[in-house]
Amino acid sequence: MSATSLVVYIVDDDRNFRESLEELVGLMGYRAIGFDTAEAFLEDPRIQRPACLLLDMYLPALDGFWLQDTLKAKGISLPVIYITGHGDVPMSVKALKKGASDFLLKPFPPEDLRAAIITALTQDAANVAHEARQHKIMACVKSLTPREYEVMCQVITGKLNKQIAATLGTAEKTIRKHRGQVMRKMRVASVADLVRALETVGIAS
Amino acid sequence: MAVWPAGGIGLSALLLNPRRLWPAIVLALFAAGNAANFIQHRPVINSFGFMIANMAESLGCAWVITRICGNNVKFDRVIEVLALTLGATAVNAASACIGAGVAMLTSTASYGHLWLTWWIVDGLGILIMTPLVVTWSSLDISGLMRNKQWTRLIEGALFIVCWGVLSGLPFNSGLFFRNSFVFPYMLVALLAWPALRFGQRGVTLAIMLLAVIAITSLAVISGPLVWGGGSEEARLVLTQLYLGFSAVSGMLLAASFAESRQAQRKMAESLDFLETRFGAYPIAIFTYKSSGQVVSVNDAAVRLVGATREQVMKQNFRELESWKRSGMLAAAEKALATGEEQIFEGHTVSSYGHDFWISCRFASFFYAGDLHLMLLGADVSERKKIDEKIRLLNLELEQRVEERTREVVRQNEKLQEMFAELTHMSRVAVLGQLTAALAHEINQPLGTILNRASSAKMILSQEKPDTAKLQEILSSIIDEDERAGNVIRRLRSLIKKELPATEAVDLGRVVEEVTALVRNRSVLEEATLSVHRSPASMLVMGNRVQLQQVLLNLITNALEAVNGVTGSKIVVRLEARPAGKATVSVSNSGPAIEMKNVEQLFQPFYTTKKEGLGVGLFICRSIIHAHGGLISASNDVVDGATFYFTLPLVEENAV
Repeated sequence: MSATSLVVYIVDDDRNFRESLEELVGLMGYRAIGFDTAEAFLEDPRIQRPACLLLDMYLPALDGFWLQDTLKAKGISLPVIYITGHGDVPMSVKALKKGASDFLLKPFPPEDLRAAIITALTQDAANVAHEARQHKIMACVKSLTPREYEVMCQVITGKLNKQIAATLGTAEKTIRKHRGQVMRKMRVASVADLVRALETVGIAS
Repeated sequence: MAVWPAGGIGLSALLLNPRRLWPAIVLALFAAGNAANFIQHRPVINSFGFMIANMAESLGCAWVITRICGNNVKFDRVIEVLALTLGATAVNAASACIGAGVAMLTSTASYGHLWLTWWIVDGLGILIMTPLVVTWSSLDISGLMRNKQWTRLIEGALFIVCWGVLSGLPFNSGLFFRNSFVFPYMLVALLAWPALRFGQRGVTLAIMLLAVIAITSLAVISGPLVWGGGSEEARLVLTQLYLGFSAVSGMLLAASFAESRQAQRKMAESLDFLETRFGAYPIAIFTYKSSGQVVSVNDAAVRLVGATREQVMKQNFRELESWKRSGMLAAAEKALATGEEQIFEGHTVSSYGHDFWISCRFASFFYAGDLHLMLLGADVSERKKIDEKIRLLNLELEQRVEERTREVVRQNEKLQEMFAELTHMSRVAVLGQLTAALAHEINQPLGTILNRASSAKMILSQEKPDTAKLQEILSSIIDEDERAGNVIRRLRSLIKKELPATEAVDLGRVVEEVTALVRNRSVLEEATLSVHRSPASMLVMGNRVQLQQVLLNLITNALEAVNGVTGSKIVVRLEARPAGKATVSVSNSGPAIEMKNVEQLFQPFYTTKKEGLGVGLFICRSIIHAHGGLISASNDVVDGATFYFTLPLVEENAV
């Protein structure tokens, strides 16, 4: 992955600071895209991933926490690095509780920034990969018939075909046929693989 | 006929009655006169004519006399006697013309003769009869008897006897007094007796007697006696003239005596009144000769000295020890020397031991060429006692007031100290908040600087550093440094101990600066802070930092009120109302304030916060009051509360 393809979004209303940060981030080899308000950021349709968000806690109208909540609500798991000129313990606790990737106090040394960005981007890259996998698995799940889905749910509990047949009130032969369809459609070789895949999309639990 | 009394009697009847009865009296007399004439078989035409003349005479005289002297004629005044004389001569002269004309009808005599006869006869009738009837008609005999003025009655009788004898002598005695002019004049002189002793009544009676005696006397009838020679008619005329002059002289004498007596009585009365008044004045009045001798004193003066009148009258103020000691003597001498009124008030003990406070005035005056001293004085001991009491009370009051004042001053100083301490405490308390807020402000430029510097470092580490870019970065660093410096300066002005003096402060800027400081807090409290300024700037006189402190306090309170409630709103408004004033309000959407009254909120140590000192709003109020403004709070209709303060705007021409 080339560094220039990684995007760092910056939302800060202080123009001077934002521009200096854009420049620095740019020099670090990322694509820095700045916004002065939370709304402006949300309105931009071209959010590229993997990326991270350098977010000022204080913004004139809708603040950083609001933006983070909104992104989460939209299902965008963009890592957020809070930057603030004034931070205290309750504030940082609140930020981290909300799932912030990092919390930087202005002025912050470039090394800290770089480390935070790298961590966040790595995380987001993982996020993106994870999301891609989930997407793929969900597509497989969606290709199942309702009966196959029922059988799959029984299979991942570790039951034998005979037991499943008894539970669902059908012949063992039919179950064996469905199981084969499930394993094929879900593109897994073993029950263990199937469970892992379903855990990824949160069905197994 | 020597004396014709009808006119005179008619006149007296008119004088004794009010004017409205005159027509009735005239008619009655006219009828009576004619009836008498009818009995005497006089010709009717003559009777009527004479009666008309008589009535005209009576009426004319009555009119003249009452016109001159008024209605209550008693002939005890000279003017009344003179008016009567005028009637008897002038008015009678006119009516005599009618009478003589009537007489011509039956007489052969000349008109002039008849006129003269009428004039004299009727004139004498008026002069003698009228005063006699008028004066004697008012005689109060029972009063005389009651008062038992026997001596007066005896004297009167004695006079009548003497008068009768002396009148008879010149006119009737053929022995010693024949041809003597002296006696008739002696009689005139003798009229002084009744005039002095018995008044007009005595005189009129005497004249009447004299007239009867003289006219019926041998002297007139037989002549030539007193007046000598001529016919009987000539003697009669002389006698008549004599009687007329005597009557007038005697009456004038009596009237003038009466008048003088009347005047004396009046003067005596007024003197008596003056004396009584002087004696009864409630203020002591002393009069002294310039030698110092008492001339007169009134009752109050005697009481004031505390001695008897005789003792006081013997005093000489120059010899009085009490005058010397009290200083009254000096005041008295000054009044005598300068002629100016002197006022004296002091304590004295009179020669008779009366110990008192006197308030007096001295005045000097000249009487009959001699300098006199007058002293008006009053005993003011009671007042002095009260004055003294008041003075002592005042003194006590003054002392108490002084003590209280000292105490109040002490308390005030204590309060001031406390206030200074509280102000400082409050400032320390907000300092923490300020530092946090300002840290944000200052970290902003610092962060920018660090970013730029890091960028520069990275650029420099490149193979071909972009110098233009570096230039740009360095300028930016300098700018940001400047920005940080400004923040520091602002912070310093907020926490400086010595506060800047009063100046024209733009409330708009105060609002701007303070809201900028607390924005970060508002983020943490998840509250929306909005600012409305209309107009954007307004000038008030005051201390910028103190006003910032007040607004900061109100906003901080608002933030605490909405603590933690997401979506809370805080609105800061700057408005130009009421007229000539600026109002800054801070509204929050938090719960309404629980309070008994608004005043309570601003009382020291009143707090609803756990960690609160309860001095914030108290200090705010002190500051706003010191700025000549008002601070208050109210609960909003729906939710939340508003705190606001109002300050007088700087007048435009004063800026």
